Amino acid sequence: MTRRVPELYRALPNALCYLHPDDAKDLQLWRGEEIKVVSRRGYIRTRVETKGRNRPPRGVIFVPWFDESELINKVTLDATDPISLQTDFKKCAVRIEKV
Amino acid sequence: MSQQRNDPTSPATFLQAGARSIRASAIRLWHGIAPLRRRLADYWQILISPSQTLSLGFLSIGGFLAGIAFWGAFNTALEATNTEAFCVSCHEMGDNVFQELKTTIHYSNRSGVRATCPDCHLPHAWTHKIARKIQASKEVWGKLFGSISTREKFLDKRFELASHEWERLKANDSLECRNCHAAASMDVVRQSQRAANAHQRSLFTGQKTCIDCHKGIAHRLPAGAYDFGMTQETAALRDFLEQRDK
Amino acid sequence: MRMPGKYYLLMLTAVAAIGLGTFASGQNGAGGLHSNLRGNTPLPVEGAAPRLLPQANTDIREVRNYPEQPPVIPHTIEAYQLDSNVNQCLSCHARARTGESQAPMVSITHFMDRDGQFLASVSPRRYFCVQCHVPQSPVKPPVANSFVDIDTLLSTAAPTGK
Repeated sequence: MTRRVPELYRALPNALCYLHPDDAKDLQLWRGEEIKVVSRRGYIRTRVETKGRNRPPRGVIFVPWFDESELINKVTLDATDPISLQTDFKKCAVRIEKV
Repeated sequence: MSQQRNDPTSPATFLQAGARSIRASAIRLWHGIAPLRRRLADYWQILISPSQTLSLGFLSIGGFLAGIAFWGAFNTALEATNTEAFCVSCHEMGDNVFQELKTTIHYSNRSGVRATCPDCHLPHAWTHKIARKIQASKEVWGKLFGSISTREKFLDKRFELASHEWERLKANDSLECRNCHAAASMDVVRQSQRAANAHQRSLFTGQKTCIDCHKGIAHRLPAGAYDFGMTQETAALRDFLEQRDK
Repeated sequence: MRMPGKYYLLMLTAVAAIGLGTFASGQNGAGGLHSNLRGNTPLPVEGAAPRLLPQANTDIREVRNYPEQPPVIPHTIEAYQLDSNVNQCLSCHARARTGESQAPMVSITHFMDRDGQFLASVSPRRYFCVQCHVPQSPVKPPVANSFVDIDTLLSTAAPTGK
């Protein structure tokens, strides 16, 4: 998470956008292509991965947290729970654009 | 014998009566289809009589060309059933094994050279290909009667279906693999160390065939493919997950 | 409008605080929103995403930093099936297969249940290899690592007799 353990850093140096291969095909993206993950609140630039450890179903993408250069919380919701005021970071609607 | 004939309870009497009734039915049938027999006899006469108006050249060369056209049409239709688009048009294949193929190296790799369904599952030699096509009538039956029409039925039969393919490839020494991957053309210097070692030790010596180690190269392996490391606890976990996710 | 005298001190303190804050955060760069791990890109700006690199396939066993470290995987594991039905890692690393594959056997710790009893085969708690073992990419870590292993530590401590 801190990207300070060399072995773990080498395992996954940067955050990726995990996509279903059929979604990538429909959007005409190839694996490793640089894309923008865009929502109402902002966007990040990241790379497509269709063969990684995460295999999301169609219509779902996954971007992990740990990377400071790809801050996915620029994209996620800033709505909070009405009682606990915990932010709803976990899911939001996005679109993928080519860079 | 006459005694047997007069005895109504003996098996011989029963059989003789049966034979008589069958013979009577056959004779009735033969006379009943007399119009059809007449027509067939007329056609036969046409076939064996020499031509009256059409020339020898027309009939023989024209027949030859028509034969070519027919063969072309037949082959085109047959080859159309040999394409990935045709195979995948059945949901049993399109939703199950084809989706699994998409994550593998035979679908997406460095060079972009792809393998489609017939490349691995259909022999290339003509006689074996036709034999397999005739065998495929079993698959048509399965489609009509829904032998694997749901995901659950497919998963239940999965190991059996996979075993058929493994046995086929083992029997023909992974012939379909070798259609593209020739051992003589394999440059082990360009392979990783353990791949080079494994191929030199097992493939080039002829000890093993491709499918022995490369099961699961194209589709997901069923449970029971490799049972190394499966304790009872892990197997119980697997069964629990299967039940839960049904 | 002239401010009443009693508010002068308050305003002075506020300005001083803001000034000090700006000075302190100004050490790191534009507006205090700066991180080396972002490659010096300011926070509001999106930099280019680095290329994806293939997994290293060297087959050279890396030295572990401490004995309990799960060794890194020196080969690619793309499309290796590891689910409740099949564990393809064990097709080479299971005890029964090591003769043919010449791969390191799963360590004995993988056969232990939580009470330390040894089971006949790999324990379910160690069944999913990639929870602990990862392949590597040929990238240089951005943060310098000052970890020293215990041998180095002991050898440097010995001369002082501690």
